[in-house]
Amino acid sequence: MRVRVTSIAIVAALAATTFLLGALRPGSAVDRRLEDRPPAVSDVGSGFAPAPSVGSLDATIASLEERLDRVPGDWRAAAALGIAHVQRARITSDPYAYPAAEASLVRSLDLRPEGNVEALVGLGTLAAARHDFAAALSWGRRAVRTAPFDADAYGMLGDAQLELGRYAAAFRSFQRMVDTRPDLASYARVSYAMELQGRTDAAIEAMRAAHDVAAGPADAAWAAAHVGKLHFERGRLRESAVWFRRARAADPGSIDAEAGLALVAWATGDLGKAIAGYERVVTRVPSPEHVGVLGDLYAAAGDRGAAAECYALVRAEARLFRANGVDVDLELALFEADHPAGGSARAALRAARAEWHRRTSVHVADAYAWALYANGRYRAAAEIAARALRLGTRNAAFLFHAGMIELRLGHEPAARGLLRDAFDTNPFFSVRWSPMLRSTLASLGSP
Amino acid sequence: MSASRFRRAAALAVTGALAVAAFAGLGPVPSTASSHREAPLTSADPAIDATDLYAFVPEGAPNKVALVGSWIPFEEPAGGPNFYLWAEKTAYDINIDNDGDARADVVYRWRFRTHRRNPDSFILNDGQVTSLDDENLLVSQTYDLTRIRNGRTTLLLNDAPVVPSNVGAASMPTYDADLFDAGVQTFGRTSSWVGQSDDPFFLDLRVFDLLYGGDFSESGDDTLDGFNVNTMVLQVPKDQLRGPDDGVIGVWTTASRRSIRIQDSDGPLTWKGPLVQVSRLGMPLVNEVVVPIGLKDFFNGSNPRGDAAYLPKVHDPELPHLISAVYGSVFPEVPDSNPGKAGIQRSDLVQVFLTGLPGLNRPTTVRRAEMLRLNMDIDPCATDCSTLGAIDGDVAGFPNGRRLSDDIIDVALRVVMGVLLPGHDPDADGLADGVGENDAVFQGTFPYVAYPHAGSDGDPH
Repeated sequence: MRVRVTSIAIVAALAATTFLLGALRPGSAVDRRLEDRPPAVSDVGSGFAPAPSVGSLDATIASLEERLDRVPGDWRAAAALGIAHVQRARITSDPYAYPAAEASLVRSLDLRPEGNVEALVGLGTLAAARHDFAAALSWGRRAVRTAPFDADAYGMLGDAQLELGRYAAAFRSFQRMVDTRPDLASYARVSYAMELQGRTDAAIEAMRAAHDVAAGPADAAWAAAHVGKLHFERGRLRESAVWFRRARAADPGSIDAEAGLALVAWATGDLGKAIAGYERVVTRVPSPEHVGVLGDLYAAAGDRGAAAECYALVRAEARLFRANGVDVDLELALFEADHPAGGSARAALRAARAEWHRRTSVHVADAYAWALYANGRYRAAAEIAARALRLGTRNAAFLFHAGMIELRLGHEPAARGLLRDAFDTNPFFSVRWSPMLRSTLASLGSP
Repeated sequence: MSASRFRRAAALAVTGALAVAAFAGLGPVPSTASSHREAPLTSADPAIDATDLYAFVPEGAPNKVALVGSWIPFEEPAGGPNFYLWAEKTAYDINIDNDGDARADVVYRWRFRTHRRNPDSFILNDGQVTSLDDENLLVSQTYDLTRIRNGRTTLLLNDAPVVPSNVGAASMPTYDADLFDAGVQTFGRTSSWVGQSDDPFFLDLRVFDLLYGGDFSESGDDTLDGFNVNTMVLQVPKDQLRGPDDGVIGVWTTASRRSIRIQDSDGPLTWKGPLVQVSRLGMPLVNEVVVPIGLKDFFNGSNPRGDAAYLPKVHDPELPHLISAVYGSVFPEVPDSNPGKAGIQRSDLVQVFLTGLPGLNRPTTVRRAEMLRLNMDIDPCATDCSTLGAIDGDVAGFPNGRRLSDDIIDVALRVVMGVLLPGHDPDADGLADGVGENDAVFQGTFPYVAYPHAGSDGDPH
């Protein structure tokens, strides 16, 4: 009975997604495969450690709406309602909540135009969630002018600066944030700043501090999973598994933990377990990121049909995000460059170039370089790849991309060095590309 | 973040802990973009959220002072997660100024450690727990208590047990006797207790609808009824706190954590950052009445020596204007202690919030600073006691320190509407939120706070 109930839930979840997308039909190969699986997400969570669920957010949204009916002038409740909508959109990967979020935040700001830092931070966060980082930057500047001693305002401003590639300014904002209020949110940002500069151990230490001051199991799980990810990004499978399990213990519903453990399973050669894990992930959060990895896992298992369905779903989701005002050029460029199909490489380059004109972060540089590579534009690709490495980030994908570009330019020693560096950083950096990293290194005669 | 009853009022007024849990949940979310880390939107950090501070001379121990600090608002007894931990890597302080210069002369500092019998489990207990060192208690905390006085640090307690949250009768059948009461530590003439208690504060949070233009005609429920808090109680002899001039002490509580330098050096992280104060609380309702919007983190990080900056807000706070706007027929005028001068002047509020009242709790010499001021030389009340404290003739009560039973909201509403001013509007004498006492019974002896509501209570509120 349990299996039956669960598979109905899975079908319902996927059907909801596919209905929204108009891309896949229920009963497709992916659905059938999922139906055959044992229970995915039944009874997750104990009384001691519930995850922040969509259900509790829905309850919060309902109660804030009720509150606003009773006290229409409560600008704080209006701001909180807007942020709850943003949060819901992020958890569910469902961008339909963004317009509601905006309406509520604007209402809050109308009610209280002066000194309303909550609404300003909310609007900046909304802009960032839609990947409009220029708008987020101007909200952030307004927020810190309004409240020069507000840690949240500096965090939001720093996030925007970071995504725009203004790292010195971003690190200053984060420094100000952590000097104002050392807590999980600011330690996590310090950790990211360290990671970007290639200081993984410092990044891990800062994220462990975030874990140690976490307010509850869900926060602890979030931080623990990030410690796991940081270890994984350096190829340390044992440590990363320890932290992903710790995250799952704190919050049995942690998607980060589930996805992380699935990747560890893949890295240790257990493809079946990895696929099962990612199917559970995708059933609950069918975000493009997760669906893409699941497709790569199916492809690695030789199931091209299921992989193609996943990739089609990613593209459909990208259209959905765009239709709701979310800029997904960066993500789409990387995806299309990774999964070339019928002119998609050109689409990737268009998207990446568009993004590069908006912002010059190392991640955009990497995606742009990789899209140039996919279009045979190797010299331009090398120039841009150097920009991706400008902070000294120890990111195996960046290094792999740069190495492959050098290889095509005929610079074998440089290619060997970069690819070796990628391998030493994390030989398990990508389900799709790790095998190619190994084989290319072997063909270059590198041990 | 601390002290802000009103920031939380919006949250609570809706669905109490549910909303709080949701705010706490604003952090951990899956990412829709692999390229940038989605750090929490805003940080809910209830473990450093000081809810209330109390200081009083106990009736049964007239030569001592009891200091009570409450943290973590709206602990839902039966909600999940239903146990509440103090933060590690955080210094919780109670600061005492005993000479009126707005500097801490004596600091009591609590630091906590969490112990997990099984690192991969976050379940509080595995079977019944009938003692503080019960092996079924899988997650426990201990604290070190130090005193810093005249630049000297003294370790008072090492690894003392924290009384765990009351998760319910099935798990903790003898909670009150075997866990709560067993948490009392006595050394010399000092007593210490740290654990979960009923939230001593009582009020109808709907009074804060006033701040958004609502009215509070529907008030009368103790909206904190049935919620718990984490509490530290310390009872010390008066002579350990007394300053050179008089028996008036100023008390405030803070929490601090270490910052990190992002770009100091390469290599492993070194904790070179300064200790940053992240929470501050002295008098109740300061954030509501005194601290301007947008200065929350500033106030929480600030030192009492800079409090003269708040003087304009203390002279002319927003609350009387809002009350006058909503209840114009009752309160046509905003109170003013010096009507002859331009603008609103409130020398009475300056005394209540910043200097202490002359003849009651004002130090011999005083620098204007916001703290809870207690004249230790005033004996505890024996007869004709009043939860309205000093404004009702009971000088052993608020704003001369604060007892657990003092009715802060009623006092605050009346004081902001001018009851301390001669010739004030008589309607101010009757202002109230309709909640006159706490839902749980305070104890007559140390640690004074009431037993927490149990997780097994089907309807705690």
